[in-house]
Amino acid sequence: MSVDSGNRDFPVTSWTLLAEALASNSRAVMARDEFARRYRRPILSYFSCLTRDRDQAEELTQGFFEKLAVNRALLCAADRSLGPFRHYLKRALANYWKSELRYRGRQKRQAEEELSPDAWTGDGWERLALAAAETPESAFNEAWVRRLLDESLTRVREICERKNQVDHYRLFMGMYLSDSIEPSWRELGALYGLDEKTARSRSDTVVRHFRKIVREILREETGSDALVDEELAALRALL
Amino acid sequence: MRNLFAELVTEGATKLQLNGLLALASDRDTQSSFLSTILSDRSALANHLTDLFRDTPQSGHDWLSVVSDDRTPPATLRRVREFAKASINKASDEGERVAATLLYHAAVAAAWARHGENISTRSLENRVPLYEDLADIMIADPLGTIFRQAADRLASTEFSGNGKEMA
Repeated sequence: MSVDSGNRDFPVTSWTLLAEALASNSRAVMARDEFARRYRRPILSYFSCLTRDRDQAEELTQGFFEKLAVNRALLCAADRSLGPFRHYLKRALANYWKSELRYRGRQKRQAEEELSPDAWTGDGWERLALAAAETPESAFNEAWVRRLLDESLTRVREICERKNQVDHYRLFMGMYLSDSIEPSWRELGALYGLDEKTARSRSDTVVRHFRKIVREILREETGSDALVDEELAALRALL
Repeated sequence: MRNLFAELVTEGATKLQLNGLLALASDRDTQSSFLSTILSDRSALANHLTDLFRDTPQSGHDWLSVVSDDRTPPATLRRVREFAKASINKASDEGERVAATLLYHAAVAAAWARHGENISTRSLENRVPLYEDLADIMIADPLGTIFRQAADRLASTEFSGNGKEMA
């Protein structure tokens, strides 16, 4: 299933895209590239929070995607029936991080001649994760929400452009992503020569597009209509 | 001024704005969902439990503490779970409902995380997403740690096709 999104080459949903990335054909390579493009931000945010080092975070992100590409068993473990895709991805990141730290711990011990494996005690891998006010989970969750909304708003914009509703889109964005503190419909409408009621009505047209797109994406990610509102509530509580 | 046609159009958007956009996509009042921002406020949860369990000598903080305590045995957690479950339908407002539901899930998660016992009448197999979210929402609370441990333990447990833990 895909939403009304024009000539988009790839499915809008995580699970479907994952399935395409698993396939053994030429399209799988492009699907994996799309997968990386789509989820790079929450993954990079997770590792950035853990390492507090941009270069390390980029390296870990790239390594994660490379590992997914060669170790298809990791992708095959994903099970839509066990919940939304973001939970699976977050757990995969945590497992990847732990394995990387164990590997780096072994590399460090080999490089330091005065240390023997038996001398390395405790959870030394935790030393590599610097203390931070923001947690990697919260960084991931916020980036996940931004990713979801950016994808949705891109599709909304495309619909509005096709339907000659660009000003409708501008009004919607002017209200809900305004740089000013409390925009009013009267002020927004005046920018386009519209009265307050018409401005609100045109924005509501975009709200309907937006709601439909977000809910379709989440329906695929959660596996059921009934879970869409639970997922929306969860994402709001996680912000 | 924000570039409305940029790919990263939410760059610079505040959490309040992100929340507002998510609310637009909801069909119903999301405050009626169990996963609420109330969960990250232990004092508020305790107050709601105190009100709901007014006929018991324990305070809301006592109820939360007994579940948070590592030494609480499964039998006690089972009683907490049963009491919380029975109280959900007696809640007089949303806050009490959320608090009772949280206490129910916390008792079940604590029994699983610490003792490997499923004190629920249902399989825990599908609770990983819920426990993951609760762990993140309550990250600053001891209960968040319990939900994290429960989620981790569930994730490493193999279940059979009928939801029972494999021996």
